Amino acid sequence: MADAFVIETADLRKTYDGVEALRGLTLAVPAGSICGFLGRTGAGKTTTIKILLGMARPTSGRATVFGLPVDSPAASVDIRRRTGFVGDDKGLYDAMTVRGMIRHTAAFYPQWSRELEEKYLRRFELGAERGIKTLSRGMRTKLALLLALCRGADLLVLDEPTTGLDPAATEQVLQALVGHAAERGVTVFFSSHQLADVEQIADHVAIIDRGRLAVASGLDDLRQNYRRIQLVFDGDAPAYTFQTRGVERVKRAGRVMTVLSSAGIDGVLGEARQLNPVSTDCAPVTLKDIFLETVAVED
Amino acid sequence: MIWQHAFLETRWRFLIGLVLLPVSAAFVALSYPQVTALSQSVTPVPGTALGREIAAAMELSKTYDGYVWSQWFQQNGAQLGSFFAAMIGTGGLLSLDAAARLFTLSLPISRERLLAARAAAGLGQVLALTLVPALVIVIVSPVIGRGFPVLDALAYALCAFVGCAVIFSLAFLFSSMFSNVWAPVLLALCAGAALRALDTITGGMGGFSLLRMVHGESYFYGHGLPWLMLLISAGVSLALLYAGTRLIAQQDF
Repeated sequence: MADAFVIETADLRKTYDGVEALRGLTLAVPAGSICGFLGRTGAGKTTTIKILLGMARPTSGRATVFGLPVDSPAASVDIRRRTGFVGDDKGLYDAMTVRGMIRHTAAFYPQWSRELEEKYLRRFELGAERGIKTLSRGMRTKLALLLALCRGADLLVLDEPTTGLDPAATEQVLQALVGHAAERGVTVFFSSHQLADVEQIADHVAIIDRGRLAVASGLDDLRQNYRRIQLVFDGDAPAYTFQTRGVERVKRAGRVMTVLSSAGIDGVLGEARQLNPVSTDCAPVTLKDIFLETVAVED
Repeated sequence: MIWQHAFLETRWRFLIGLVLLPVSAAFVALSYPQVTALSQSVTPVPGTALGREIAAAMELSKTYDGYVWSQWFQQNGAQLGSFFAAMIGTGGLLSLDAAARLFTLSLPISRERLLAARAAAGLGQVLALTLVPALVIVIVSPVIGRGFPVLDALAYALCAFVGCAVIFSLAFLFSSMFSNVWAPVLLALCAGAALRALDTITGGMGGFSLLRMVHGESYFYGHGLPWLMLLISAGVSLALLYAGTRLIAQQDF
């Protein structure tokens, strides 16, 4: 793929009946990456996905997929031709059978792979003649994933793909996803509440908070650079604003000041020396810590 | 495949209509001997509206062509056709559950094409529901020793189709506004009933009567097909379908 980024948005805004769902989202998803899109409920994840796939129009700002503008109806058809989508409710036509649903979907994609279709039908143990209505949530998810994987897409967009699945089904879905991405070099952009899923398969993470991008980074960089630095003082921790680049959040509680840094510890420690802390302690943080610190509710 | 999906969505309504309407049309045609026998024993009460209607119906029933026209093309066929046209016109994208709707919208096809396929499939079904009963009348008439000209049947079917297409298009438009499947049916039928009432009150609005066009009245009385009304109605249908399509095309889901 020639483009460095498959998905790009700039100052993307969406307002529904006066409510701002997106408030200037600027995001770039690298080609070939598996990007976990995290955020609290109502943060704007599904709205972003809907805009990328032409289901909703942006109020302002710019968004492109494969370099094509998402708000152009003709370009949007091209985008969808190259994209596999699994919605959070695993939307399928209840009146059809599994085979009927596959045939229906396959008809829209000239690059549909019968080989992959048979492979995933076996692997997911999907009875081809079963009615969609009779499928469990797990089976619906697997069928929705099959429909997304077999179409020869360059991009997979998945909205909460593992929500409501048991651990075994979750593992099966994630393994299929990772295996497919690795084999075919497709870009995967998936929203999730399941931080463990993201840590397991993603190599990039984007965290959205109240319609804005809060964090975007490679997962390894995130693990390497994010640190929690705890400073303990003789008396109450001073009210102080750090000038060092990468200070994401500062909390004070009595004698303790906790600094979350996204640029390692050196800069923060250097600047903190002038505050004369009696002790300092540095610790790496998990994705969960970063997520919670980033999207923390401000009471 | 979008055609197949559009057809599948309304297949049961269509198939029920495709059984009910031809059977009703055949019943009307085959009942002619019994109706003529019965009419000889009926004396309409003069001076009342009902009496005048019965007298008019008896007058028309003196000929087989008049009987078939008045009983099927002017009454049962037009009413049943309108009902099924509204039933077929309702549904579509908004009536799907939210998840299935998003799946549909994620397919590489424009909303305009999706709706055009649904409109075309629906109009095809409405055409079948107006044409097949008319041809059934032609086919069963010899059973009672009568004949009904194919050309006449086709002319009445054309009028009925264009009129029912307006009802279909109304339901199609209302389906772009309401997710409930029954609201568009009720609204389209109410609009049809309002047109009928207006027609009755105004005595037909000169030559511009949708109702008389649906019945093929001018053709029956030897004045030929109502081309102007057919064209106007077709234009109205297209405008309604276009408006419904634009409404869906501009919506956020």
